[in-house]
Amino acid sequence: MKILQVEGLTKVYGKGDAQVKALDNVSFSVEKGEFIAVVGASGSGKSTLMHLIGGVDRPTTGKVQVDGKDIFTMNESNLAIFRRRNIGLIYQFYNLIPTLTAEENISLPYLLDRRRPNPEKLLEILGLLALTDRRTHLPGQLSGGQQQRVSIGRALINDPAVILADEPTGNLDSRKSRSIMELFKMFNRQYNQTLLIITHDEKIALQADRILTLEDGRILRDEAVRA
Amino acid sequence: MWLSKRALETLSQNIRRIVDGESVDLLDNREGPLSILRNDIQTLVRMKQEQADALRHDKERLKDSLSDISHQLKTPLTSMMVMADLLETAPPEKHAELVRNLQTGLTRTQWLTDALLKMAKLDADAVAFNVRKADAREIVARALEPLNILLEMKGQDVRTAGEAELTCDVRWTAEALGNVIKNASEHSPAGKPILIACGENPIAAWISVTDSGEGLKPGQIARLFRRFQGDGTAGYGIGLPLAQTILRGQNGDIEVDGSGLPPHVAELTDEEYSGATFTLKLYR
Repeated sequence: MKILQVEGLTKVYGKGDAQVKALDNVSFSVEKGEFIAVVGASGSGKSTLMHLIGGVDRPTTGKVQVDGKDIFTMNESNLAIFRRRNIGLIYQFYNLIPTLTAEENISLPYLLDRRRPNPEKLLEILGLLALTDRRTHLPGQLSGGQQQRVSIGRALINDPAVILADEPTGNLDSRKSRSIMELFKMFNRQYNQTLLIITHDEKIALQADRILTLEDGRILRDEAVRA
Repeated sequence: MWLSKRALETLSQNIRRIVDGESVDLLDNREGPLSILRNDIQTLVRMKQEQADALRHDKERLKDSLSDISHQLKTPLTSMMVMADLLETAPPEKHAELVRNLQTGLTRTQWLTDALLKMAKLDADAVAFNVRKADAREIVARALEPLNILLEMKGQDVRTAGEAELTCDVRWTAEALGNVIKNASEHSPAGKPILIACGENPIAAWISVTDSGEGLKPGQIARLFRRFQGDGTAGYGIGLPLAQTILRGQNGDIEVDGSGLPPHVAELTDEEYSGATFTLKLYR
């Protein structure tokens, strides 16, 4: 089942001589439950790709379909709601709300719809993320690794169609990076959660099932790492 | 809260169309409870479709694996039939050699049918894992038992490092580990050591096996666990897939690092190993 389809995605910044093609006719599709790493040097277009798939930016041409829905046919406000209900986003700098507790930050996608997550599910996720005894702490009282785990919980809580993570371990030491990757792998297996991770780190990428390599805005390679 | 009767009727018609097998986009992506309900229904539809896909996928795999199995069994049987024919007409001094060949063929067929049956049982979820806490040393010792002679013959020293307690089915996990060690032995030159390490972290308890071979490239790693696709040099492509099926059946997995000790193993030893590291993980 194709959960994500990217077709002829092109993004051009600037005009005339100052024109830069950040993405050049990129196409690929992702099956439900795949764990994919997108690698490439800085400037290869990987962040642009992430912003387009996440619906944060709009392409010059091309389509992105999430669970069969062409996301750029929606207007801004509908897209924002679609995104928070169907796409989990994880950033390098966590983007947690400083005045909300760990538990509330994880519940955020629900709170925005004026509801609460299933308490059992919330407890399960807190447990898997080893945050049970930190649930009432504010982000400022948590370490970098713990804050990143909260942001992972927030991305996972409402079973999104796909989770996008932009350099999720970019701000952590190699030991913590490894354990964050372990978590991703576990969620990928346990919940059949589709994951797309953007990284410049080859070692991190090798943990995924499939690696897409970008260069100068095009897909250079698309290879399976494991069965 | 006010809901229009029309909106509800449309939603209910659309759900009916989905039930009838049409693909309908329910989402309107607005604020408010009706839109949330639409999203919840869409999520439910997605999960159901996922299950249906998984089922279809399983069926296809079963079909493939049946034809693979019959192929795997036919090859040694055919060669043994030829051997038996030869035995009838061959001069007496050739008999001992032919009988030895027959015996080798039979042993391999026996191992093969054994492994295939285990795999079929695991695929069918017909295995009840007898889960308990066990010291990693117990599992390693059990896995090594049938392999000690082989390792001694090749002069491959097994070194161990670390300690861990695993919650798993000891017999099956030892079977999986044994297949991984056997693979490590096959890919290490004679006289070179094999490292078995273990440890625990908040997410998983693990046992790893590192060989002294040439290591693996990403493309090779992808093929390791595909059934009946061995690298052509050793085995039938059953040992490692079987090991993976056993680990996944117990909420675990096998990770492969192609070359260079991964950090979780490197911190337990000062020695260098040229080969690949297979880490058997059991999630907590």
